[in-house]
Amino acid sequence: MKKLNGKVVRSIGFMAGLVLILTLSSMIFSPKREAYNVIAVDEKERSINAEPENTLDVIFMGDSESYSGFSPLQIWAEYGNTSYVCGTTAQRLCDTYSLLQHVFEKQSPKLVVLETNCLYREAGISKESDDKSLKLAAEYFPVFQYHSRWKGYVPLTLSTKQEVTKERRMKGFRLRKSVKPYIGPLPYMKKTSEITAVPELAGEYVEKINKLCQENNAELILVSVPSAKNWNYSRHNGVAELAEKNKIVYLDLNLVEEIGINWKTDTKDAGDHLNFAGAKKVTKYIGKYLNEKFQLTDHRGDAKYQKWYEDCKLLEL
Amino acid sequence: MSYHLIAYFAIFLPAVILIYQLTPQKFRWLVLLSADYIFFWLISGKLILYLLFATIITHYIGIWLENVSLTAEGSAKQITKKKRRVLAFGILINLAVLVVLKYFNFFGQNISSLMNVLSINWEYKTIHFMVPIGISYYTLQTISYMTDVYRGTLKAEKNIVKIALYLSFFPQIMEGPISRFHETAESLYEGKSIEFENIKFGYQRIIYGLFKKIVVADRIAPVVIKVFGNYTEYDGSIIVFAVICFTLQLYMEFSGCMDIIMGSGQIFGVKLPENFRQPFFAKDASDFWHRWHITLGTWFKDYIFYPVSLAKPVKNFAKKVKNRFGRNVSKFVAPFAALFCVWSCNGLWHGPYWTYIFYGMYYFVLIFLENVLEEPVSKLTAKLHINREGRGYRIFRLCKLLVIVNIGEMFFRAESVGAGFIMLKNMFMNFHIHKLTYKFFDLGMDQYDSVVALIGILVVLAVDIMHEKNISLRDIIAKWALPIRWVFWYAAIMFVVIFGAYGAGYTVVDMIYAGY
Repeated sequence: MKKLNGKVVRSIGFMAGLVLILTLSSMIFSPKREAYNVIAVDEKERSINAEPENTLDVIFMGDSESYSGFSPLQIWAEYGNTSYVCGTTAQRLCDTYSLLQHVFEKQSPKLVVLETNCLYREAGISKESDDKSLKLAAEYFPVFQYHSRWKGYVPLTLSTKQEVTKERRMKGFRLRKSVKPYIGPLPYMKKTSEITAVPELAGEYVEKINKLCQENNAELILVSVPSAKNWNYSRHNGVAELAEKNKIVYLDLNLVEEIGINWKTDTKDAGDHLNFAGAKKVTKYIGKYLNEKFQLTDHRGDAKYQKWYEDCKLLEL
Repeated sequence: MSYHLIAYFAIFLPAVILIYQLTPQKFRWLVLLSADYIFFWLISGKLILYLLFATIITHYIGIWLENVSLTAEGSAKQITKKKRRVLAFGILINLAVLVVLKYFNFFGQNISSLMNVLSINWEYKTIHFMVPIGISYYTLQTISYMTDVYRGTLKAEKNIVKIALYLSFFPQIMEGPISRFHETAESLYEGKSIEFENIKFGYQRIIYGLFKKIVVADRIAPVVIKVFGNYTEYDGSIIVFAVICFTLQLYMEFSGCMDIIMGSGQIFGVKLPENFRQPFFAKDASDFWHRWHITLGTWFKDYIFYPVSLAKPVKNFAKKVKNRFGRNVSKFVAPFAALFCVWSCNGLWHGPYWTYIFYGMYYFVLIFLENVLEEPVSKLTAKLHINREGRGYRIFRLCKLLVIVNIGEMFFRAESVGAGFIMLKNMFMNFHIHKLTYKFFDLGMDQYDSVVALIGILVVLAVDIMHEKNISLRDIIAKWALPIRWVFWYAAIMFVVIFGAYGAGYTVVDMIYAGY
């Protein structure tokens, strides 16, 4: 009995030690703000930190559609405005919100452009496909949610670093020249009165993001980048409804024929994302639109922005 | 619920342990059986009825077989004949459920395709069957029980609870191992108190299993998904890399889950049969299968290989061959027939796909060739004074085995047999190593993931080497002073927590073998 008691005490001691370690590691790994894809958020925060303070006019947010469609260096070359794509792969609105909070700490953009594809993704912090017990564990020990942040603590210098550097120099834009034509039905934007409503949580986040922008003297606008695979008229209606409710400007580039997207040549993956050719067309239009509607400052000629000229060489502009 | 989820090893399992231990010994079987059925309900819902049906039938057939032995009149031959009919009936019922649920659509679709080739206008309409998880495992256990009773190596069990426990033990219901009645039934029913040492060792093994599954296998998985899903877009060098990744993923995943299962069993004092024994240290393909998914291999050996080898028609045919071509040829007749049956069943057991059947046939050909060539190769190496136990030959053997295993796994995972051949062709005809180095970090693992995966693989390799030399790492650790031991296990747990490929940014990877 005595022997067993000793074992029970030892077991309780071991478990108590484990709880302590999990608590301590949770303190180490928890980010400043809650986020879902903390690896992507961390990396983007590091990227935006590399920009000189208060030098960005426009911030683009959203998922992969944003960094495939908006090219800040092209906007610079054509209109002299400074912008940055803070979009990340499969970005959730909780991460958009977290990233924007970080952006506003060092930048004072006039405009925040939110690409709308992410409105139809899961918006919350936890991963829906995981078991509920993991969510529960993460509530008590956030290390289960943020454990992947170790990647930010360990410096490795293999070839991806070059990719990261290149993406940073292109201000978050991902240049991809490959072509895989879209072979689905055209036109994909068939007018309908049907509405695919933006999910409730996503709507709440849009309200929060809008409020955050207003508090920081920035205007939030919603923009849909052309995507034959992801976008349709009922989603357009859903976003339009949300925009109207929140009095936000909404621009759906899927409906702007003037852009002239050719779905045989301008997509890298059969209508999902735009490639470089498609991005050039979209950026040309959005650059003009933003300048006409919001009177952004042309910084060309200002010595403070000299580095933007150097980075433009990456795009062969 | 899967074994690698917190819900299982941190909630369900501890809850069962606690309730089991607090219950008086004579009712502990009830706790285990309830846990088994709750677990099955959680993964398969009302499909539990299939399991209950299989349990009742298996129990009944066992008693019927014994009654025939005890009460039937007539010669021994007649009794055996009668018993055989009862056994055939029992196997047929259990197997019919499996075949209908799992293979009906496959056969229907293939017959339909064949009809179309023959210009007969008949279209098979796919029926959506709900297949209970674990059916491929517990069905084999029902067959082994009934056959053992038929053979007289096992007494029919009067107590249906023992059969129910044997067929449904929750740690093994999803992925095996495929145990025999005498290996687990008694200890499951006994209700022995859980020993502290068993909890300790059990959970240590669970941690090692989680390390293999979550840290290594799930980290590699995105590369496999990406390349196998878009194989036409990739260079041969990338395909080679993805194939190696899949072999590693499958090993880490399956053996990792087995560690979790074995650890769980150990906690309740149940010694489940091992399913892996350092397969990559095998001498050849045949030896590989003595070390990889061992319980499936031994099941096929006992219930297909031997019965087919000793079957009258096979013996008669071997005799005819002997008369015509001599003993040197006839000695291969029985192995040929038995191996063909074993590997056809092995392929089909994995699922109703041609890739699996091809995989089975691939090993059939290889293992049969190994049998045929063993003697000439022995003579040749002796003549050339090649030491088959020397380092050079062992390295050659290892390389050969790795090529065989990886090509096999490639067809196993490929989208179709045709896709497998295209991948194989690309590996040889379109191989440019610089394309792999250029695209390495664009395949689903960044530099950090690659380093962690490599460390994980090296750790598992080191442990496997120790096991191959019969060194038990857990025993060594158990001898360490308490503080060092604790530091080690804290480090191991935190390694899994921090470096596990789970949560945001990682793909959720279900247990591969639970799908079979």
